[in-house]
Amino acid sequence: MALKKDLENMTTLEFVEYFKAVNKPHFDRHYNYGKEWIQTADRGSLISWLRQGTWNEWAAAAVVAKLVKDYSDKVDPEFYPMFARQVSDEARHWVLRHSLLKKYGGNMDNFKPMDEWVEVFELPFKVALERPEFFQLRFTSALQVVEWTSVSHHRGVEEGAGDRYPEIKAVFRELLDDELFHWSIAERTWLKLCTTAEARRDVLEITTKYTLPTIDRARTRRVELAKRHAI
Amino acid sequence: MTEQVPKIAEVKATDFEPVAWYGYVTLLKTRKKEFVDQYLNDLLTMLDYVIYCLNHAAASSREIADEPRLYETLGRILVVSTWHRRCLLNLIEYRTGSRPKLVRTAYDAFNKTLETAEDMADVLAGARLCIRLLFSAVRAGIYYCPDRAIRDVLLMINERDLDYDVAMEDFIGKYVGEPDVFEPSKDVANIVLDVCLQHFPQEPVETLPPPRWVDVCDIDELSEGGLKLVNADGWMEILLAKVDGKIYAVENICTHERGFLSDGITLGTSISCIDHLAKFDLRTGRVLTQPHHGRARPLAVFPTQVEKNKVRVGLYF
Repeated sequence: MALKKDLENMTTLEFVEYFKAVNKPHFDRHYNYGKEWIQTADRGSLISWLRQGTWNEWAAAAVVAKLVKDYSDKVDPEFYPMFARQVSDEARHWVLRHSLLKKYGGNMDNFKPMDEWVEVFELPFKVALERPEFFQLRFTSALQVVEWTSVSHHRGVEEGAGDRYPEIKAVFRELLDDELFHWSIAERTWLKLCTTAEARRDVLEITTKYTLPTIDRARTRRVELAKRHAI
Repeated sequence: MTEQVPKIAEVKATDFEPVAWYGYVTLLKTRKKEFVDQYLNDLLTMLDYVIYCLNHAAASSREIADEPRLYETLGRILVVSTWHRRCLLNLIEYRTGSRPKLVRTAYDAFNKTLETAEDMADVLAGARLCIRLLFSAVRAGIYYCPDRAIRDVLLMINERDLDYDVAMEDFIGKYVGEPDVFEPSKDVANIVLDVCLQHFPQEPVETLPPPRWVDVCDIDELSEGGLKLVNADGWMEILLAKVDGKIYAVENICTHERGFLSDGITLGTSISCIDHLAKFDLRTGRVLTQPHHGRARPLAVFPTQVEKNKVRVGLYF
């Protein structure tokens, strides 16, 4: 990658493009993963898979809301409207996924979130608090980067659902539109705040060392358990 | 014989709504830039306090989250409130050249609320009180702020008043049986009142007469004891009432749930909205009787004069 040698001198826009380019193979894997999974899923595994997904929507909303209410002195208040829209989207997704779950005959009774997904939603504050000077950058590198993997994954699900699961196709099309917006919060955060080579190295490191392995584990395990109707 | 000491009715936090209203009306009538700038900062502070409380509910209230539709409403209210925040930031930056960052007063007050609140219902009731005071202040700006750009933004914000009201009642209703009458604890109420009323000057201020007068109708169109609905500037409905030869002018939309006071009932210098019987003093706008549910706010009132058989109303913008 030609830009790699020059993290210091690239513009913030170039950095965003660089970030996407170096991580693209990873996101492509999430697409394929979603597409393959939905093509083989039976109704029981769908229910299992949706139960965890439904909880994830609430967890994402709660984490973003917690960011504003507990760490306002560490984030740029100009981002409040975007965070509010993400909370609002996640809350709407909570409704959508809940309805989908019911449509397939499932519910959230006795649900216990998977440890791997709990870890996904604990990660943003964990890494952010370790380096307060990069608080918002690190938070975003953990949370909104996951959103980009969700865009890829859900696009795979939407395209793989075909005529077997038309409701899944419709709902996930809407979900991934919003997730694309959530990912753009990361892009905008970096455009505004990721201005030094040190910060850029940190964002890349958090992403590759923590965020992507954590979300990989969570997604893989979720499908494994869903196939056994075990969530 | 022991002297009976009359009991003073307990003052409720919501009783401070008229205080906020008359306080801001007075400040805005001075037409001083410093007061108008302070007014905008106060609105931002109140709004930020509300935003933090709503985020607290979004992050921590399982009761609200367990009802997906209600949780979705919470998300929407957050979107609206942060959009309003952005509008206020734009106004402040336009007027002062600087854009506020974190409003420390609001954030500190919110954290103090978390320390002292009895439970989530208490936090939400505090937020609702703050919203009520915020909208009283917003309404003052709509009718008495000299700056047209500010008024335009405030009109937009005010359109969501009922949405906030309904949503807050639903959120609080997840915790208590009668959310409409549920009040914050004294400690939380004090924090909110401090946030909302702290910048009123300690010394009296000089208010100015309205900068312009508009003709609204002929004097013959208004009979003794009668009402007449007129339109000022094409957007504002004003209700004229003639009592004992004097002409009073008030806003026509009931401050409870937006009934039309022009359909109301007058008795002397009072008028009652026929929707839910909120009763107002035509001379001052004061609420004389609250409806059975919800709360009415003071009405905006305007000075009148008669010149060459024309009734004229004094406007402050």
